[in-house]
Amino acid sequence: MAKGRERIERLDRGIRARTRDMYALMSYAEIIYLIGPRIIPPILLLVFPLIISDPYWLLVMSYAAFYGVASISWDILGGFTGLVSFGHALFIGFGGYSAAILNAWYGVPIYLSIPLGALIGAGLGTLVFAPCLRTKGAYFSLASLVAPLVMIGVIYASAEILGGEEGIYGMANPFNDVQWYYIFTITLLVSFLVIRKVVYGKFGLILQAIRDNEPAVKASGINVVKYKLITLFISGVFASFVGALQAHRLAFVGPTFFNLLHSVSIIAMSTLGGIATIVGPALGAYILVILTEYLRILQDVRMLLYAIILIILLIFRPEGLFRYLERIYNTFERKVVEE
Amino acid sequence: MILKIDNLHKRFGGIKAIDDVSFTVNEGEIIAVVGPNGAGKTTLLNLISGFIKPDKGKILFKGRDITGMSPSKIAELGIARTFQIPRPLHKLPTIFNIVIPLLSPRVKRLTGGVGDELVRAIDILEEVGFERDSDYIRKPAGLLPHGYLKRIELARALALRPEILLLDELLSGLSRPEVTSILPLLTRLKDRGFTIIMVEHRVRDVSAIADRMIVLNEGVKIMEGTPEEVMTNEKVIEIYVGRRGELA
Repeated sequence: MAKGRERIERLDRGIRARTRDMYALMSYAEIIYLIGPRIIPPILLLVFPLIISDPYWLLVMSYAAFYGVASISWDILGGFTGLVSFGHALFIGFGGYSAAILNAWYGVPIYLSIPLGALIGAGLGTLVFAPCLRTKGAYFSLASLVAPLVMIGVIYASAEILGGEEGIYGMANPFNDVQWYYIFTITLLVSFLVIRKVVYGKFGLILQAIRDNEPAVKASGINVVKYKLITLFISGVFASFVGALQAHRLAFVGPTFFNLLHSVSIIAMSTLGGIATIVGPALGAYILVILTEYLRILQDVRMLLYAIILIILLIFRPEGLFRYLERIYNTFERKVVEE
Repeated sequence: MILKIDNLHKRFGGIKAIDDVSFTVNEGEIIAVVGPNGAGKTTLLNLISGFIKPDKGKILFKGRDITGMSPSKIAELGIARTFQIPRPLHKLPTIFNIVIPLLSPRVKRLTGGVGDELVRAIDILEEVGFERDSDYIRKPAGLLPHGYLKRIELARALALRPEILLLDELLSGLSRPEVTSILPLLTRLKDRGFTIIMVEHRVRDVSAIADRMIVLNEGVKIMEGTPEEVMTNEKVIEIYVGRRGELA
């Protein structure tokens, strides 16, 4: 066979051209190209404590995983269903308080108080958000923004029932830093897999249809309100779950769980990473949390910096970092010899 | 009688959009609701499909009162509609626009949930005039030309396997060849047992296929009759074109 001309081809194109929907791989380069980005980040997260055992950084990375779960759960609502919630902290707070009350007051053991707290928290949050569903678009965002703030007021006003400003103390915390790191990180990985399964199936297709054109979905004989409520609940379970974890980890839950900062950070992280990509919001969470640590000296000025970063990003990379990185990654090339 | 509209009233502020309209629809009929702009035709369709609620009056579907039910519930019962201004799921590929109604509880109930939605969606798209292997089926629906968006509207309604099809100005904005290709399709649908209520501006086109016509003007039903009766009625001609001669 005569040696042909050499030609440059994009790695992904070659794989795609040979295989429609099925992967028939021809080289190790292709195998690494395909599974590398899917395998390496989780492995790095799992071996992180073996490399860096500084409890400070374990704490930071646990926080990042906490925000990661909250952000990807927000993405189901904001990214896929078009319910841009500005009050996702409501679920974190409800989850935290539910687990705290179950464990500290009723003696429910930790392995039950956390999942039960997640379910109760998601249920309560869905109940509160349900009336907001009557509004659409920006009006929903505004209505949802207020919900957690109202809860802070409720907690301040009911010192005897919910512990007021002091919060609730004394939840079981049987784990050390490394264990907590793994609990948060594995929660993130599992949440990611579950949520991806949900949004890329038939259920997720209906959610995207609702985001695209609600009347068309109604005319298709699908109960839009029912789907929105189910989505609120699913999204809420994950956010409430990490809220419950956090309550146990700190052995404290207080009005700060409903803080506006949580809600806003989640949106900032999702926007940074890329809305409606699932993996993007988690990426955004790690970037912003780690950045926050390095910028601690700047104190409150860093909020201003966040805003500037976000504005720049929205102008130049509105699709988010993940889509951008994905595009760059897909331009890996190789040489092909033409026959 | 499959549908009965009984003394329907709807006001928007001071305007009577629908003023005491009553009529009945028999199974397997094509009914054309015609009238000049602002006559209340689309309002009537919105009332039947549940997108707006009447102030007074009743809508009975197969003897069951469906007045005030939600749009999805009415669609679920078997009354499907199209929109005058197409409402595609613009970011999703065309084929998924048809998969969505196939995932509705109604279709799942009627088919027993067999699950081959993509195959059935292509069949339905072909029925309304898409080429089976055209690019348009995979493209985001928002990128399609107007004529195809109208066909998506029809395909979405058909996918629901409805008993009554409510077509809101399906022919508006279509070119002459497009109209002549859709009209026989509607007759075919009628032959297959669909009841069709079409709101139309193009009186002459629908008079060719309608069994009965209802004329609305300023929310009031002016007359009802066969296309010949309506087309030759002095009052209708006067309202519709202002002077004699333009309808013919």
